[in-house]
Amino acid sequence: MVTIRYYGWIAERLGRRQDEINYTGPLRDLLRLVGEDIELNVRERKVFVALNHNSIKDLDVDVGEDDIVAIFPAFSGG
Amino acid sequence: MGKVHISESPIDAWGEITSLLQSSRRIGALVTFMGVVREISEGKEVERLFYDHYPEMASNALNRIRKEAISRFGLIDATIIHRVGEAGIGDLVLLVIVASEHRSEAFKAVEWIVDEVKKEAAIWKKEYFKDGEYRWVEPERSDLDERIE
Repeated sequence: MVTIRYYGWIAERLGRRQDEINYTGPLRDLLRLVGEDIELNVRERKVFVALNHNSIKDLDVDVGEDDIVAIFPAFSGG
Repeated sequence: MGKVHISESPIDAWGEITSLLQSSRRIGALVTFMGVVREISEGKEVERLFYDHYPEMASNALNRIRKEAISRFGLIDATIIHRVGEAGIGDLVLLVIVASEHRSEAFKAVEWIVDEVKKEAAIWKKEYFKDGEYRWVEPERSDLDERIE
């Protein structure tokens, strides 16, 4: 299972904090499964992605069993 | 001793300052930044804030920033504490304390740490206004441009 976590306004818009999906394949396709506009927003740098707690820009990387993907907006702490 | 912490509880600033101050007799300067929830944001009255965070990434970023600041500015030690969850007006939400032998590097280090926390820590701020509206705060454009380069 791949765990997908959502943060900030993305979690609010989706109405959930986390999904668990039985999936193996490119990260790009996983993002499309989550929502049509997620992958577009990542390309336009409105939304960012982490794989196993590290920011990632290469959406062609494969993800699968036990991976944790996080989808989040730009940071605004402080 | 210096440390990094993400806290859902109020931050004890004086306790942290005392702890850091007592950690080394080499300390000649101790500079503190306290980020506080203000009542007015972009002309609107704020009721409270909520901070969402990604625990692993936020903690990793704060640890990296602390370690790099100590190395870059030759600090004796540093503490970075960020509040998450609900915070009211006047609450302390970001505490940065740096200890060094001399003041110059301490002042520079505090400013650098605060800027890095805003750019690099996986934390998101939501403002609730007194008129019932709310908004997720967007980062400064310059911070975003720097982060995605």
